[in-house]
Amino acid sequence: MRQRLRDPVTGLLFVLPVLVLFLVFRIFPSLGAAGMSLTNWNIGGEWDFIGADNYARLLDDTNFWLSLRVTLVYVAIYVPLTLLVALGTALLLNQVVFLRGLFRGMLFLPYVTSFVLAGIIWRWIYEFDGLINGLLAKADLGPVAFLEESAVVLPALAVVSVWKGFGYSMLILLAGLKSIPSSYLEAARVDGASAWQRFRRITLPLLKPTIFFVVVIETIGAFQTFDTVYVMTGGGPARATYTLIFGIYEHGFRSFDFGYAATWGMVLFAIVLVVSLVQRRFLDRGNT
Amino acid sequence: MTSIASRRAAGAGEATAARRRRWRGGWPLAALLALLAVLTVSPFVAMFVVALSPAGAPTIPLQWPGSLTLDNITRLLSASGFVTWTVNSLVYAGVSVVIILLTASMAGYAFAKKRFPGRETLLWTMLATMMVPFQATLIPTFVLVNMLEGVDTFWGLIVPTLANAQAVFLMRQFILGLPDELFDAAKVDGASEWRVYWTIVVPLTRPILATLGVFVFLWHWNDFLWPLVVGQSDATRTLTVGLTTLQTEEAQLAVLMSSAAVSVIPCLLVFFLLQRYLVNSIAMTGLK
Amino acid sequence: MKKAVAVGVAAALSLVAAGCGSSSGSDKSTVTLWMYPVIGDQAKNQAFWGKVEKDFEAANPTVDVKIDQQPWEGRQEKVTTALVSKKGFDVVVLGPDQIPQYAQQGTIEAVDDLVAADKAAYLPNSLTALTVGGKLYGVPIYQTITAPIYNKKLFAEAGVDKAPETLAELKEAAPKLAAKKVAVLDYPGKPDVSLNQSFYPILWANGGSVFAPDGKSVAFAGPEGVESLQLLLDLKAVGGLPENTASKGNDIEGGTLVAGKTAMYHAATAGQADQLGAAIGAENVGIGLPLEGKTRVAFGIPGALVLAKHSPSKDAAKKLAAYISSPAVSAELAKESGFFPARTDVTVPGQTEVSKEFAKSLQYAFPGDTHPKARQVMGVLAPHIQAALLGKEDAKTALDAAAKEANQLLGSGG
Repeated sequence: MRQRLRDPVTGLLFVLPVLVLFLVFRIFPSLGAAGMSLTNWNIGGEWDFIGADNYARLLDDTNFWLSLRVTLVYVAIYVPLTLLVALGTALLLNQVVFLRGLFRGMLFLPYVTSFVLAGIIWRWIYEFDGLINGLLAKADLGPVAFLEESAVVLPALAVVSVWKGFGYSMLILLAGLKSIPSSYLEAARVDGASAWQRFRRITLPLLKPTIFFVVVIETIGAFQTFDTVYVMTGGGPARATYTLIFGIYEHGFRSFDFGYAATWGMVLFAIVLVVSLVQRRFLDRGNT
Repeated sequence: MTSIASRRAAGAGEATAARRRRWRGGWPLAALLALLAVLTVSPFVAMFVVALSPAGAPTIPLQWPGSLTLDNITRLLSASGFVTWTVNSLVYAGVSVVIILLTASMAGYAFAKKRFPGRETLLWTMLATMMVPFQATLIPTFVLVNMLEGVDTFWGLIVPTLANAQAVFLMRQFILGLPDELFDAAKVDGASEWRVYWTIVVPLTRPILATLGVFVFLWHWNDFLWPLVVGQSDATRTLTVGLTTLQTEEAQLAVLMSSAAVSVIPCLLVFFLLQRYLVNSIAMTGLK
Repeated sequence: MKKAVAVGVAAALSLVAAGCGSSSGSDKSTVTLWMYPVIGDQAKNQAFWGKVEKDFEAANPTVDVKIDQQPWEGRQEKVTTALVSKKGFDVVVLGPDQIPQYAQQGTIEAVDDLVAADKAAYLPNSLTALTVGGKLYGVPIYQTITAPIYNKKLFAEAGVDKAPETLAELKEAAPKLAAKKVAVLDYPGKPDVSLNQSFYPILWANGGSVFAPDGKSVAFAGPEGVESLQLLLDLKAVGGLPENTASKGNDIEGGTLVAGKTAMYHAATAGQADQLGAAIGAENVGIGLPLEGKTRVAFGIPGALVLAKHSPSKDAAKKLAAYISSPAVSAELAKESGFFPARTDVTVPGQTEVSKEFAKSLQYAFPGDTHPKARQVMGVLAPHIQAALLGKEDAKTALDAAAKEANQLLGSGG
């Protein structure tokens, strides 16, 4: 009898500290934000509950739909790209021994610095007479207005975000790779499996929990990309990079329309939740 | 694959295979890695050059300044409050690392290996709180901390940030990959839960704990908005916030770059110090 | 075990902090002032405000003053959270664009009584900038001003002997400079650059305004607005604007002005003039009066001390505000910060040559249309101007579209 109760009891005990912290400092304020979305609060004394009015306004708001499209396109570009780069560099780091520690540090460097810095550096790279266009000019190719052409600005921003953030997923994937017992791979190699087969049949499946983590976290992060947009384009050109999060910031801290900002926040939350649950369905290794 | 002969052959050939593997990873891959690393890092060389340039030297497009000077950096270091800010940042980051590593690994273990009612719901509720954008929750969280008299205190600064869903999720994914047999064996041996945690989970998750530790340190060290809003005076100010009080309204590249350079160094130190834990792989031969 | 220790430490720390924080019911009132780095050098900044604190406390022994330095970055979030929690500051420095919203919300206190005695001594526009609904909400302690700065050498090389002083002259000079591959006007079209320093000065110079007199709709799509935007598009057509005009900011360092690709910027601050001088040589920098259209207007706003309604020590706070805005302290602040005094009865000792030139434009200072939704309207208009600069919309279409959105904004609640 005691044995059967042991698991649930200790499970809950181990989770308890985190649970308490979450209840107080995450769940409670999230409920507060949800409540805000039902009001027209703008810091000042007078505010009322206006029920679903904010949500009706949102559905009618062309800027919201524009924002949604921008955000979805951005996420669709960013997540696969960052997964590719992070996995690629992690695999390289796992294979190469020469100066490995140094390279790892260098690749991690962008993650460590501030967005302001990244903004300055990449603006210089993307500028009309900046680094890339300078190189293109040498090859007699026309200059590309990376930050002004709405067709290229989202991918351009995605590249900056990937450069800035891939170190995180790279390290996690690297830790995941390192916990795959080398004996499995050795045995397979001895048995004549090619590198690609070893990767597909052994590495990839064993890496699945880690990849799931990376995909979910990066997706959540991508939906909430703020700093890159804020520093590089301010939502432009002509709202081409006006992500949902940027809209929340503007409505909240520029217009002080906090009720409406919270409404956008709740909608964003719902979207991200749905996407994550879908990802879980396809990638979480039998833990439902 | 499981015949005695091939296993013996695998064991004997392992040493030579391992040696051969080192070189198989070879020069082309190492060169590719080196190229990527250099590309990633070169903008930072620019940052350091600007940080070390004398005032008024033209900085962009990048030119080597006539002379290098430590003036910009010394001006920052001699700012009154610099020592206080740095100590505060160290406390903020350090305390958070210790507590988060402990609580997240405990909870991650419970979510991965223990069955208890509401387990998956709980995990996903915590993850869901990550999906509510912080621009929407900043004010409710601040109001809450204010009600608890935590504004301008260290605990008000640190405790709300200890609820970190990513950390819990990461540990859970990792521990999922640890074989159940280990835990069953320990239970059969009659080990207490705490012993299982300390002697199995913690040692085996060392690479990921080190990785997580680096990240938590980084997130807290570079955190700007929350310390800005919670701290009111120099006594509770962190380095990121303190350095911005030295910037005038017009962007001065030299100040910006030297602030960035100064902030980056402790993070790199922590990274390089904890790197060697990332290198150890787990030998799990003999288990299956 | 470790966790218990950590929790214990955290608890102990919080007790200590709480203990240190409370003022044990003394008979002194505390006034907290949030000040921003208006004086460039940190040591000088602290010395100045330290002296202000000391002198004031000496003259007012029952008041304990705390002057906290806050960073410019993130100040919107910081001030907002303070007002929401009704704690943090008694007095803060705000600009006229932030005041209308706070006044509307009822979170700041009217201060007409503080200024009543010296009203005549202030620059008239300084006070109107801070007035909302007939009440004054801030005590000006400094005034900023912008003026055109230009690269004398580039104009000379292009055969233009006098830098443009009117919008018409600007248009004339454009092709001559374009022949030398120099854009005459450094126009920052990035949406997050305040329109006060890009489009609005041209609009105002042409006699236009952003809002209609009753503030219920926008007026920038009228003939003056179209004329102004058309001027920019005409300049672009002859190579008078930099190629990346639609996405460039107005940072001087590392910008097109320093690189010699543009010849003048029409709405620069004195600090930016200094930066330009440092880069191309002070003798090559010219400073003019605002470009004239139908009238001369220069963007300049007062920095004002604003009193929080939730402050428990309003009288002491008012005394502090009066002290800092007095002629003596005002002059000293202007000298140290390089800003200009908002009072006309003050002479600033040791002003630099650059500052003296800028001071000539003070008489034309205009704070812009102070309207609670001014910032949002800017947010709506800027992307359309950018679209026009990119050739996606023509002047009239862009302004009409922006006006439609803006009027919707003004009509909606919140």
